[in-house]
Amino acid sequence: MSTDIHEITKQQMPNPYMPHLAVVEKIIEETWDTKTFRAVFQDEELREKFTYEPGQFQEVSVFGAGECTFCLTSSPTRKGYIEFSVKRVGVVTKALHELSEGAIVGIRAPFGNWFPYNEWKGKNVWFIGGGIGMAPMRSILNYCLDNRGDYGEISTIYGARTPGDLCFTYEFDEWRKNSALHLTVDAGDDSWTGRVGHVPGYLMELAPKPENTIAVTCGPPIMIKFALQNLKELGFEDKQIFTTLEMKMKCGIGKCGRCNIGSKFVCIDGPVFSFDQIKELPPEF
Amino acid sequence: MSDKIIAKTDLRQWLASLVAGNDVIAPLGREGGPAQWKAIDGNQEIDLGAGQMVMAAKEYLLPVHDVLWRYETKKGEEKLEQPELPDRPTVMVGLRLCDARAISVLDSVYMDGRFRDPYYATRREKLALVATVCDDPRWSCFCTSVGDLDEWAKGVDVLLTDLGDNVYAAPVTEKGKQLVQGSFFKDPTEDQTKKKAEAWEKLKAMPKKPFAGKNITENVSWDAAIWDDMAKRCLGCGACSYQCPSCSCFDIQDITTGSLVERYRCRDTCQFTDFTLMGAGHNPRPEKKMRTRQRVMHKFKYQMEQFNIIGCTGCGRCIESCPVNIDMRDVLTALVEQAD
Repeated sequence: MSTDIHEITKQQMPNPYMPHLAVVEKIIEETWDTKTFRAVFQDEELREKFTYEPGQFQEVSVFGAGECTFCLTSSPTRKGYIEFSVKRVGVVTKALHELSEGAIVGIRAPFGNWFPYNEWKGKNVWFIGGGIGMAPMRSILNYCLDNRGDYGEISTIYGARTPGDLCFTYEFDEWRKNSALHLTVDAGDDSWTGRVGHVPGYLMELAPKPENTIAVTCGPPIMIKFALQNLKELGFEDKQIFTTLEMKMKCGIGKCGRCNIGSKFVCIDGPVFSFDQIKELPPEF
Repeated sequence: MSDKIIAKTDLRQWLASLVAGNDVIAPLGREGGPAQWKAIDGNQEIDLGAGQMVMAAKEYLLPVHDVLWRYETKKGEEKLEQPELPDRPTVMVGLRLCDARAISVLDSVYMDGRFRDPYYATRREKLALVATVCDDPRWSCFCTSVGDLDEWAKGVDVLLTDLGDNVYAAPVTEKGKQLVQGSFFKDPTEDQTKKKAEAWEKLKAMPKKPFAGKNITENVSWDAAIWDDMAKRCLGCGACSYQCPSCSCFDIQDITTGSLVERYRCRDTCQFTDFTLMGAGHNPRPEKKMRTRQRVMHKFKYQMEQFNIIGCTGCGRCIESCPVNIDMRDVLTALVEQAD
């Protein structure tokens, strides 16, 4: 890429450390430990102008509690707001979970690179997600669905521990309308009539053909490991497989020194990588 | 550039003249501890050669507590403000050349074309560096083994050389030329110029370590045995990186006082377990060996790949501050020997 991919960040954040104030407009309880927040910038002009790319991430501040990194889980095709999904695990995520609608948060966004969706035009796209790993893929999935004509077959395999751990259930009908959605859980319950089993195994059963196809995978490291093995067995090459990496981050602009793998920084060289790019990195993952 | 000579007895007068138009920062002694970078008013006695164990110059460019913004809610009104940054030109006097070089390393990180750090850049653009040629390197020094001093000297604005009763002042940049002004500056004699050149050659002739002249970047290997040896001794205290003039990783934290939230950044180090520990519990560098390797590889390989600069200036602070005597020179020697 010859142009500066960070131009989109710099234009919207003259001082990349200064958050934009935003109102939490809507809080969706996804599961027992995960909520999705819809935030709207206070500044009306910014609300209109703000733009990002699917796969980019943001830094969300709860004033006084601190700041945390989340992917933008909404699609830029849906204007006026941004969304992020938060699993309650630490101090800041707990503070976020305690917020009510109407609360003020600080948002620094957008950061990082994004899925090369233009290069995928005319191709089939398979999304292979597990648990909260569906959050970053929801952005690109909805982006592809909103530009449905540009892509071939779109399929999603989405797995979670239990039916109660599945996020974005309210969008399943919409996803099914224009693409295939294959759900699986590690352990079902009385009401679950769907498939029980792990994501990588389901992938082998569905056996997508590698020709003219892109695979995007995100989820727990163990799932990615086996999904990757299986994709290779199905004939996928590393450069056809994409993921978005997670590392501890603070600044988002390659300064604070946390998210490097070798000389690459996940925050500015990623978070989206193809597996042939990942292979070039030191084996820190 | 027009080199000048100033008598040591006139130094205070020169500094006073600098103070008139600039903020001047110099190493000032502290009882029982290392000298610190402090603003001077022109009346203090500063020893230009005292920069030896002073805290690194990052103390000024990356303050230990660097406020990024303040957020306050009052009667339902939110106020988010950036603190004021220095608007006066600033001169740092009495730097060692290694510490000046460390600023070049920091510049690559913080002024990097991809993202310019506004806090660092504002300070840096107003800053002039007046460095001193070392005439008495410490036991821990190894600058000449990791870098080319002639190259490093290009990164300062004025280079001073102690000639006994006089100080030889060589402006390197246009900015530096503006600083070497005043009736107390004389043109150097031939003899003084010769002595200055001798002092420079003497510094460059400092005994070299076994790894000098080798391509350290190519020899820093992921699987080297030295990482295990280091990890066995390392306490993970992080003193090396806190004292390091070119280590620049930071943490970002909030501090709340009543309705005021202050976000600041402060020093952090890759030697701490929680540096990379993620909320959900995963840590890509859970073992000490991975962290010692990260620090050395970052300096000698990753920064080279990223910015074409070595992130170590051989200042020796990590060696002097390490409580278990891990010596960077031994580490580099081991890496080079293993590769041979």
